[in-house]
Amino acid sequence: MDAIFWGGVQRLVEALTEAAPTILVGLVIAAIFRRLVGPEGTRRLFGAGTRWALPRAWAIGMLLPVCSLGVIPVARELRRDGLSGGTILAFALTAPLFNPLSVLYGLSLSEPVVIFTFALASLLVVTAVGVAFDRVFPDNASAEPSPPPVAYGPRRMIALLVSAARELAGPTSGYILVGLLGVVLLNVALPAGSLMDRMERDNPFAALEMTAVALPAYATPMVAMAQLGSMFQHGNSVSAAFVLLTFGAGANLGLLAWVARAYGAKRSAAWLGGLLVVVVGLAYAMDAPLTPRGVEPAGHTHAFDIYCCPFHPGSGSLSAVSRELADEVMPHEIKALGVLLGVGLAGLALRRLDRRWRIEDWLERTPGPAGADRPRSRYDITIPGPVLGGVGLLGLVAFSVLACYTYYPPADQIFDDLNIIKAEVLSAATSGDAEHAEYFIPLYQDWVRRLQVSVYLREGTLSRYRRMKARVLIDKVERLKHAIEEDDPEEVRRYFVAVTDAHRRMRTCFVE
Amino acid sequence: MKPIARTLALLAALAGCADDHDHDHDHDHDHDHAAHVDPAHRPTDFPDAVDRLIAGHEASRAALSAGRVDEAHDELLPIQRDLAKWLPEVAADSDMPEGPWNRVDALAARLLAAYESALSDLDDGNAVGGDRLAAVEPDVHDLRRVRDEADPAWFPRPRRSIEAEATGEGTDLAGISAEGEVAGEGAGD
Repeated sequence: MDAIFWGGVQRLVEALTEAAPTILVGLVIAAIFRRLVGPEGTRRLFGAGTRWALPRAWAIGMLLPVCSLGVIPVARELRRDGLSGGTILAFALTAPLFNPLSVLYGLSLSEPVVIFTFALASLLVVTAVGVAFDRVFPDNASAEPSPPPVAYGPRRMIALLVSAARELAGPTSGYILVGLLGVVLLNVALPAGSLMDRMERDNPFAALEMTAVALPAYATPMVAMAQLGSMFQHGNSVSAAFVLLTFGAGANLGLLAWVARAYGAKRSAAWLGGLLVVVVGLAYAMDAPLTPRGVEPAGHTHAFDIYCCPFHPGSGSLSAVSRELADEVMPHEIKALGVLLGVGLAGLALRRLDRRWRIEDWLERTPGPAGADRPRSRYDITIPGPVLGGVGLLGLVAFSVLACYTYYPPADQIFDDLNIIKAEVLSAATSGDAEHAEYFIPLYQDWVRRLQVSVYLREGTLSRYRRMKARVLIDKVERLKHAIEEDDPEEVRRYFVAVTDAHRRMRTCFVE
Repeated sequence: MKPIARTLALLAALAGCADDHDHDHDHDHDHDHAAHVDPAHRPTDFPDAVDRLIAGHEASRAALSAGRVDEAHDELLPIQRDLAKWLPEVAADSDMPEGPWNRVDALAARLLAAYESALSDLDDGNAVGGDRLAAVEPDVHDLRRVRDEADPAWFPRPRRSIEAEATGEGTDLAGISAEGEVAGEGAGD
């Protein structure tokens, strides 16, 4: 029980901190749609009522950096704006699947043809299910009256914050909690390491089993893409990989709960049923053609351990959770969580204040352009809300592209870090410190992957030679990890030398 | 709540009986750490891989020509397929420069296609003669040429000797620094 309890605590906090940045982005996007773009502008942006609505939803979703929890406030806003169910569901499913950061990661780690096929397949899924949903359930849109316009100037910016705060203090938090509950549920149902050998390519039920895991799971686009790369490197089932991407990154229990609440049990069950059939059917259809040749199945993988209970019976404790979280949680995630809490508290405070005074009364007091009676300089230009909203959305896209260059620094900088990490790993190997190795080895492998993305990002290509050098190093590091885990000094020695050689060769072909 | 109920049911099926949760973990955790066990025919380095591939190719061709289809299907060709698959990775696990490696990669892809095609036809019960493998004979010769032209220094066998000697002396890692330098050797840098 200790493992399940503390495992649940760890998984819940991990998922919440991981999701915090993209939930914030989702709240900002929803606020931009509500306060700047407005319902009419949003409907125009999504091509509501035209045959381009679904592809546009897919394209916009791909560009905006949100996760499957962060998409919930956006989906709620799109429904308030009167978009059809098919369009909203298409957006909600594809937005978390891809963003510029994760697509780059995927392109350099898996075969580009795989990523493009998966992207096209997801378009096919959302289009087919969206069209069917709108056909079977016409008139599913339900627009709410748009809020009165806010005066130009700082009030528009305050209105964005107020909108985000109210959204977070409303039902969105409940749906996010339901989504996080899925992670806890998996922790209860799946003992530590129980998925290690379930997703092998020779398991005909791999895609179905992955469906059962991925629906309640929560994975950020980057995590899903990294796992996708790992699945191809380990020679896992391609059908399971597609399901992982679509349901693991695209859906969670919170999103499903919102769909059920917004469209009713019958419609949402029909939508989910259709989605399951199309996704699993497509997954099996693309399994054979996309199965990589020349990749030897590893027989097992730790890639899916994150969906299982993190502890073995007797090993769960508060200190173990603290230790794991200290290793896992990134500084920017903690900051984002802090901001998220602040926004949530602001929303709660506003609700309390509503009894005496509604801030919207002040924000919406002057519907026309402010300061029309004062003299204006030539640079004092009034920018219409939709233009500002468009700039904001494009800014988010530009920010995520810029983030790519920060997240994937130049190769020589990466090697500075890699040299330190290599020394830590080898030092852990020599001293037999499995815990130290367990921390640094995934970091080592992650930076080797980032190195490939960095080169791909800057040079537009990554030769097979370089890919193979990186793959050899990752494989040697993996083998060293197992040797350390099994406390086999001879094997440790063997792979110690192998890792050193593979690292040197990779450096030679990447930066010299 | 239908989707949640369905997911729960699937999860329960996947996880097996909930009562097993603790039971499964009463013993040691060895099952969590399946080791990387290489098959016996995994080559040690590129020259070894080419030697094995050439010998296996000739044996496969002879078996097919002599009508020993079962031997080719069950023993020889699956090994050839594995060797062709591993070749680019084994070659990359050395100091072989990019030019020769690209040649190896291209040759391995053609050989892999030939072995897989022959295996696939045998699986389907189609007749496959020794001449099928003759089509990729030039590729095998090219591969031999790459190996013959290769600088032996690309394949650091001495390092393995050092490793073997050190292993013979004991199981400690004395003599190797955390940066991977082997005492008395430049560690190839």
